[in-house]
Amino acid sequence: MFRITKGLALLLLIVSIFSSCRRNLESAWDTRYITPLITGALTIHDLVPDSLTIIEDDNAVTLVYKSELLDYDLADEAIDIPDTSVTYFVSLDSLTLDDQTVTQNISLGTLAAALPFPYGAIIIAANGTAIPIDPIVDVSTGIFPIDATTFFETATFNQGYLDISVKNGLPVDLTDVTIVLTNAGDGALVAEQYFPLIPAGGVPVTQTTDLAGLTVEGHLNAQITHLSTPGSADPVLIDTSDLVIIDMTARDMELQEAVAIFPDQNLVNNANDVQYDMGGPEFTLMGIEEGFVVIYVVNTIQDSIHIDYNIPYATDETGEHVHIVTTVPPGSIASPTIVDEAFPIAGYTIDLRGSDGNSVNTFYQEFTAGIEYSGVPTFITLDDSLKVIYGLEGIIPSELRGYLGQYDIAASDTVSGISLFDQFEDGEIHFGDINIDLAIDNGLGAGGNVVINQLGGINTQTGEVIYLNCPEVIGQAIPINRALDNPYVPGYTTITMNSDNSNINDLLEAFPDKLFYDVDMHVNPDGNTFNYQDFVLNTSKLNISLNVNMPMAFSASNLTLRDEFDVTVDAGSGTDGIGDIDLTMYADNSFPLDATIKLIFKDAAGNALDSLDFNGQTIDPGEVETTDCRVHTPTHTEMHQLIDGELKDAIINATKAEVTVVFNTQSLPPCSDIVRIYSDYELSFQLTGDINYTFSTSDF
Amino acid sequence: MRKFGLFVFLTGLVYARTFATAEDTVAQKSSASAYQYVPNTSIFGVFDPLSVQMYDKKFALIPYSDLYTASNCFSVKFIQNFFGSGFITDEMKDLANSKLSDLNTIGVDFYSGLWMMMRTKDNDNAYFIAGVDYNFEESGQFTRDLFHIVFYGNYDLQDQTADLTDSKFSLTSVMEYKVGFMRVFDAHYNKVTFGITGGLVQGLSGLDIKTKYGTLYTADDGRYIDLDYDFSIKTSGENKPSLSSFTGAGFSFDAYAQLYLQGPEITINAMIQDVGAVFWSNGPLKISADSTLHFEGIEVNNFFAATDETAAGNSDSLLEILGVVKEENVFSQALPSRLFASATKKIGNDAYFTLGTHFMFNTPYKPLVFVQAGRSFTPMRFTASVNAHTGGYGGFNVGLDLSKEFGSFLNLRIGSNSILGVVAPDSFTGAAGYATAVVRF
Repeated sequence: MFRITKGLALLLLIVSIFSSCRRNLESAWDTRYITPLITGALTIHDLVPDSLTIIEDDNAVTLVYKSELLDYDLADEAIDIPDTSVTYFVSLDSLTLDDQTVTQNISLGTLAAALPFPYGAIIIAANGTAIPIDPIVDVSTGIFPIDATTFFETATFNQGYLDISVKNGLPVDLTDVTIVLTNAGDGALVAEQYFPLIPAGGVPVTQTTDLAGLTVEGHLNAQITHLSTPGSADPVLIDTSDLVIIDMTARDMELQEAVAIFPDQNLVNNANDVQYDMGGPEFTLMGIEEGFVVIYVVNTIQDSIHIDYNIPYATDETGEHVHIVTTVPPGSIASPTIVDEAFPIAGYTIDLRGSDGNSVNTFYQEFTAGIEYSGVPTFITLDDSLKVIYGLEGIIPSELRGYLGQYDIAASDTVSGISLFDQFEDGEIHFGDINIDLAIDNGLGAGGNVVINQLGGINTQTGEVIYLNCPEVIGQAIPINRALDNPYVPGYTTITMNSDNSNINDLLEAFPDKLFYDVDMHVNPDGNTFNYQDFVLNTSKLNISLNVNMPMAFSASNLTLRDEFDVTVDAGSGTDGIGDIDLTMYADNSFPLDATIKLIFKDAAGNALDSLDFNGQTIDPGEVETTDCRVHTPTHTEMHQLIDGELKDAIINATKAEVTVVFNTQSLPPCSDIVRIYSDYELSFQLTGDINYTFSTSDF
Repeated sequence: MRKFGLFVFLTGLVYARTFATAEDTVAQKSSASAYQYVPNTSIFGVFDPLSVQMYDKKFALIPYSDLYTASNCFSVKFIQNFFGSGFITDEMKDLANSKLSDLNTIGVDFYSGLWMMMRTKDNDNAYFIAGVDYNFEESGQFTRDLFHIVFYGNYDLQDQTADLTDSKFSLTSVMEYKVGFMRVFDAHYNKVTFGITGGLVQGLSGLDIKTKYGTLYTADDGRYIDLDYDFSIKTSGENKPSLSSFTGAGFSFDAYAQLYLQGPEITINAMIQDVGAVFWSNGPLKISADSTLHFEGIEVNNFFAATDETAAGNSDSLLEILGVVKEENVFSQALPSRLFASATKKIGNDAYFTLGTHFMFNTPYKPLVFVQAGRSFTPMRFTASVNAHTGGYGGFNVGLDLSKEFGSFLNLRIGSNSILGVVAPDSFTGAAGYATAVVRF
């Protein structure tokens, strides 16, 4: 405040002709200033925050305050959704090729040309005529190349069969026919089949070769190494375009390895129910607040792997189900490719009744991993593998429905007290009739009960401990209402406590700055009585609070407000010139409370240096009019305090000041000792100083 | 009346002595080393090339120093104590208060320097001039109420409105470096002299405070204060004045003229000095506010939450309350320029009478009119003069001027144009003193 006074004087000087900053010598003179220093007003809102008051129509103040005892997050604390990832390691024991058929046609002309002279020449010369054909014994043909590269370039079979079917379109039977099939590259024998009789007339004759263990090339050579015919005694029509048709069909092929054009085929094909172990609760539906489908694939196959993941009964708000398609690029054994992806499924709702619709805690999922026909030869071996991990991870439900099960929640703690009285440090206060609600908000869509084993308050300043004594509450199993859905409304249960059924007045009047409690909650004590209609949301909480709603009416005896603040009086700038100060406090008070003010100035160590209390004078209370027990006209008080000597030095040297205001209620009969507080009550004050000051030019 | 009587008595005394012993020596026509006193243009100890006697010398050094302080209301004792290190008593304040007018003035001027004059090689009537000046001027104008608020406080102005309008204060502290020339046109009968110098100004410090409008109302018991103000403060900044650095820079010039009429033996001198300006550019600061303020104390809205702020206070918050705007702006300040003019009539051989005036522009200086009468004692190469003046920063005052030649080598001059404040500092409002020398080679 002295800085302010000095500042005002400085303002005057600064516009004067005498305030040069460049003088080094000191001159001085005495002055006397009178100036306002501090002005302000103390209203009910300075004692109690606006948010805690309701102003009634007649300006009466009602205190509204909620002191939260327990704020238990039911979703977080009680329910945990485990991860469901599964791992598959897939070898290519199922690598297959589709059945394939290659047809080789051999005309009579071609066959005759390959016969030794004169058989062939006679037949060719008789083309178009009918002649008898002499028997032919054990002749062979040349090599006929066969191209099967449209199916594979090379393949080593673990299983497979080659059916060689010969249809004889010639006019005579064929006997003792041997057909040999060899790889064109390495000359290895693939098949050698003997046909004792292949009758003329087109009825095919088939012989089968087991391909297991063979390596077959796409380029093959076929040769009829032995061929006989009994001929015909009668003339037969010779037509050199008549055909011997050889169909070679590879079937039931399972490969060890191959360079082939593989057809579409699934390497992993799973469809299964996944059941959560929830340890009691039986959920039928789960909304996803947060979570992912994770797919991790390690691929050594030199072909793209196509992943398809479905949860058919997990749908979003548009009805779309979870369906994830992704592709793993080709890899190799030496350098596998890895895909590690997480697909968010927030916003989906999963039906937990499984694929049959009758389970609980179960969801159905489908997973396939396969290769697709590409038209390009690809090398695949059974040494290739596919490692697949997939499932749901990090699931945080937004809601769970079904049966929440039976479980207990125990909570005990010491929490902040009722901050209505934080500013009061001492004194006694007595309230009139008050009602305080013990409110229990149940966010679970399940029934239950709460047992409050213990509840009380502590005034840590005085050490006083007050236990709530309310037989209707303490130790009783209090049934609590379940939350309702659509729209969601927590279940409210309220128990009113007052001076008739409890010692709640004693508890409040002790100014507890701490509250303590010991609470048990039993969920579904009677079992699944709502037939899977329970629910819990991620916002569901169990909240227990003390709700104060009472008229601000009290009697007070030495009700004390105290605060300490820093004092910064720059002792180096002009304070030497401060002389006696006559401080005057003007107060206009419409509160029905008198007040005394005391300022204690302290040094840095907290030692009191001196105090200022306006000689103990009291700010008079507003005078209560007996007609309505209200104050209508503020009472004016003027107080003086001379600041000089040690008090002045104390103020200048202080680093802290403690202000103490002590209130006492005043009333008049027939009004009650309990005075009602109205919002238009105000204690306005102004501090002025009549200051003797010796100016020194060295101050500037 | 007593002051006027004293002046008449002293003046008469000097005149009686002058007319009794006057000799027929005229400085301008004297031989090479014969004593010839040339009256100065002013009753101040400033550099005055028109009054420098070179005799047969080619070169002269002229050091000078002049201090002048005056006010229309402050006694010399008051000023001494204010600018010095003393206590200003209630008696001093009461005396000053009794002399207050609606607008009052005070000023302190200090000039000091070293000049040289050198005849040119080819012309004995032409001179090269160069010199260094230190000029310090501090002056203010203030209302009766401002005086009261500053020196008494506002306690006894309750329920009154104090008028602060048109109060102002300025300070300039500069070094000047000038060169020029002077030429004497001698018609062997009448003589005309012209001179001019000019040069660089080194600003050391400057301050310019103006209150275009200002009132302060103090309510009964100090319950509130109403301020209505429009003021500006321009300062050269916080840089410490130093000869080795320029806080500001500028220019100035001087001009001199003299007409000597041999027939009536009248010499008319005119000179103007320090016409120019200085530009403060090294960290200047401008503080201004044009606002009204109703002050009932620092407002505490939440008694228990805001007490820290209340107790601490600080100048920043006060400036915010006042709506003060602080900005760094280069500003120029016109130099306090001085005009001197005088006419001197030689009476007989050894006496003279001078009537002159002095004015200082860009200050609250009022036109100063002076008279001076002197008598030379030729054998002793000594001249004594008395003077009286009114105007300037203060009112009436008298002075004494003594000049002594030591051969043709040295002239010393000391004096004061405001000796009453020296003699009776408790009563008179002006004091001054100066000393000059001319050293010839």
